[in-house]
Amino acid sequence: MPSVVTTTAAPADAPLLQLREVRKSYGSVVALAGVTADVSGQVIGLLGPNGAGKSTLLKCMLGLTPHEGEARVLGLLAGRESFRVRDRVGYMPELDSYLADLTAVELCTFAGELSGLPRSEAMQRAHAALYYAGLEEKRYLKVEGYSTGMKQRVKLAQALVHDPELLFLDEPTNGLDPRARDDMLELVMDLPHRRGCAIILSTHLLPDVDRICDQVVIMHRGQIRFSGSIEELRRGGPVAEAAAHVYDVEIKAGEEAFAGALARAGCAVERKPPRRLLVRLPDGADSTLLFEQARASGAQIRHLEPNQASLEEAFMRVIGEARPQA
Amino acid sequence: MSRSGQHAAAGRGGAAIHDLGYKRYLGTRRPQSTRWRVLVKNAVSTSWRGWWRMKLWVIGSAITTVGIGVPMYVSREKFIEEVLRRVGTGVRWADALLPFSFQFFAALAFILAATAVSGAVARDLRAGAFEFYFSRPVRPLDYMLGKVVGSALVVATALLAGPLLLSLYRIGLSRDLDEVLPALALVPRMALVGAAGTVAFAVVALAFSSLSSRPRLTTSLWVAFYLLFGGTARLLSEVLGSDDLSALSLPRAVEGLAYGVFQIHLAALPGFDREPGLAASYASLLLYTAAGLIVLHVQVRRAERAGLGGG
Repeated sequence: MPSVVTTTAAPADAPLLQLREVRKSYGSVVALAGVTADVSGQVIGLLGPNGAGKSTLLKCMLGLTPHEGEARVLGLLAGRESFRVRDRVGYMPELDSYLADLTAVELCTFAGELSGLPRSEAMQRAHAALYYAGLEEKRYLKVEGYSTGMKQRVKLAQALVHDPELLFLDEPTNGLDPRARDDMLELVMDLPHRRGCAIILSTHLLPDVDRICDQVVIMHRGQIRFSGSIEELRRGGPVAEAAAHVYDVEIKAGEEAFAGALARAGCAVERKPPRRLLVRLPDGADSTLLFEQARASGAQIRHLEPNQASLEEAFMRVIGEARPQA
Repeated sequence: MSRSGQHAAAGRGGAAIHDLGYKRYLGTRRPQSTRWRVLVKNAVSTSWRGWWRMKLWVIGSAITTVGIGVPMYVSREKFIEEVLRRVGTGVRWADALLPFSFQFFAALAFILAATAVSGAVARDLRAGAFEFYFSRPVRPLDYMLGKVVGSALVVATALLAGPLLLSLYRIGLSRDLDEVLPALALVPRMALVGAAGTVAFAVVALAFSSLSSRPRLTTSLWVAFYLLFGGTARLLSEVLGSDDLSALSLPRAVEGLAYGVFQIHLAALPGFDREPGLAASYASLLLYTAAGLIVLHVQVRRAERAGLGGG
């Protein structure tokens, strides 16, 4: 029988991640340049170009690499209490990571036991995790014979089996066909509700982040450039601040007169033939101005929406690079 | 677990999410310091699958044990003892067969190490298992301990279990109490030799297995080391007339240790090779074990540092 070790819970209101001046260098290469942030949320996207420091941050949070500064995960010090952190965190790696000769059930049971669960509990939870991941019929097959999609699912199951409070998912939709990708994202979205665990999703796929994340952390050149909600990301910053006053307007007719009226009212108007206008309102004005000018010029507005920056545009803005040309 | 949540449809995508129900685990967890035992169990159970990796050679070890046990029994006949005494052996043949048996058990241990141990770490490297291990509360030391102890248990089925059974059998062959007491002393000697050989075989084979992510290559390296390097050492020891040089051959070191511990020297008899001395045999096994552990440690640390993730 395993000996008794009580799991000490972190303060309930502690942020998922508390980073204070976290620094890490590999020789002359600075991987993390004094990262400071508090990160909370249910599904958090960790974004950044290659070499931004995402993997290094992940290693620091799992206590796999020594670092300067203070990194806390679930209120626990990532360096000094790394084993307690790893008991409470699940990690789904990007690359293949399994054990030769083991079936999915054996792999997940083994994973649970390594995380300290008693064997019977580990086995029970292995079946449940594989069932949840949609591998109930294939769970007695060896993992090395699995397709890419099945391997992704078993990686998710092994990350879940020990009942983590926080999941790190590294590119979980890599190599998946569109349907398998949808299924995986559904699972990831479902996890916080059904299992109460938070998720940090490291990915390059902005549509995935847009679809399932409520918070986003953007890293670039070893620093966190943005941490907040996706809405804040879209609206935040000087460019987006201005974008909040920009509307995409589609009208039925009379665009010439409408554009003239808007210009006289102090709006900057960009015409998008045949019947669309991009209108930047003057300071202090709101969308009411658009309706007033439409009425005054006899134009009929068919469609009106704030011209939100796309996630990709917002991401490019944060990392300070121009949007790549298609 | 309740099945209340089974086949619950999830959210907007329409993909069915299956759930057997979920309850947060609030029980106790195994202490971190004992988690290497989980790796031991896995190493042994993985080796036990299929016939060719372990079972066949365990059966071979059992047959060898019986095969040695029969002449031990027969040699108790007074007539045979008298014949042996006349050809010059100063020891009981049943006793002499104990260290002699190590050459057979060592051969089986070599095969076991080749099939079950020499690809073990390589298979982990190939499958990316280090990410699996080290993202959990597993230290490199836990990994090494688990692999070494697990592999040693596998090799011990040949190099320790058989000799120990024979030494117990030898006690059973005693005619009277005067013969029992000296026979009892044979058990720890067999255990010592078996254990030293087991650890050396397991560690060296594991060290080879950590050198590449290609299991076939690492197994080939182990076989080459055992047969070619060992054979060369034996040849050189004969050519140069240095018995101790043959201790560079792993099985000869085990045999030399056995004969030395039992203080039995069969080299004077026709057909028997000269065995290395006790000190040389000890030193060889110790050095091989230490070197193997160092190689294994370096490779495992390197794999840990390679760590997680790509970009």
